[in-house]
Amino acid sequence: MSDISKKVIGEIHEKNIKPLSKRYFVVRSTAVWLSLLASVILGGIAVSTEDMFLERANGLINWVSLFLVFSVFLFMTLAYLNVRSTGDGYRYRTVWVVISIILIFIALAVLFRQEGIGDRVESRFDSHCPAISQYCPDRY
Amino acid sequence: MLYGGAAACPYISYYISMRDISDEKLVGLSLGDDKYYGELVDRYEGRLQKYIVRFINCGIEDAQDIVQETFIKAYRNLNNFNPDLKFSSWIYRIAHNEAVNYFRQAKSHKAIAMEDFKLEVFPSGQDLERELGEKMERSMLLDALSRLDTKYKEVLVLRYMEEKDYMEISDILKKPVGTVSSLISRAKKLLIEEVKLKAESNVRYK
Repeated sequence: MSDISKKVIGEIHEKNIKPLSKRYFVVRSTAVWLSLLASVILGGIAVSTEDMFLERANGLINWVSLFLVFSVFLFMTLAYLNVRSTGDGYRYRTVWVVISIILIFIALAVLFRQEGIGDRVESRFDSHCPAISQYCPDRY
Repeated sequence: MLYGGAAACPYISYYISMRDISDEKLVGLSLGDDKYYGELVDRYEGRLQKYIVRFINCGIEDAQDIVQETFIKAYRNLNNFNPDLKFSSWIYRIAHNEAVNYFRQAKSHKAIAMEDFKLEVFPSGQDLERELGEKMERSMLLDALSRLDTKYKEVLVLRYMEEKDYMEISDILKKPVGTVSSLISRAKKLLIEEVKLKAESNVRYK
């Protein structure tokens, strides 16, 4: 045994260092994946509440929902960080991770819109957060 | 005869059997008995020490402290070792992170002469020179390397001093293989520029 290995084993015994349990890492990994799932779903809902992403407004976008842009950006960032925190997340180039997240957001937004989830969320916002909803587009 | 000899000498049979065990298998065994972990430490402490010195230009004693911290941290996280990954990539990753933390926290950086490892500094030095297409003194290469930004230095050290392939470097630095390739390509160009700049300034002062 070399000097360093004696020191390492000695410190392990002296401080009674134990390997962290497998369960700890499973819980941590599960938390990351759930967080990723939540940020993707919430991002999809955020996109689905905005009609202009999905319908033409006379060919022009008249104005931008500040809160929507902020929330989509926030969920996209969270989703990106969660992907990077997964075991193999580092293997994928940033541009492909971002594009994939955007495509998933759009796909979920279409699904949620068809289910009417976007409208339900938006109407709750109108009634509970009037200060924020003033920045949201008027519904036709 | 070998087996008869081994039966007669338990130490030899222990030594032979330890050497035959793969790193990945030793990780599993270490969870039950830390003597196997000692074997892992013995296998990697020399390599990690050299890597740390080459990477952050610290003294031998500091490198030993970092190596010790690395193995303690690795021991705590043994249950997080992914068997799909090579153990060497995993332990290098932990050592790399510890070295980066040390570098950020250290108040003074005692640079040591890279020539302390002159026999082994550049095992792939000729490959690097060939790839750079330049004939240059090893000392100039090392000097230029020490002046590069960390993100370029780390990939060159791992590729040409530690002789890691792109996939291993990707696993160690947790960066995509494409990014590693781009960094190495860019790092080589910067290295040539640094060497040329130094050569020009040397000529000017002569």
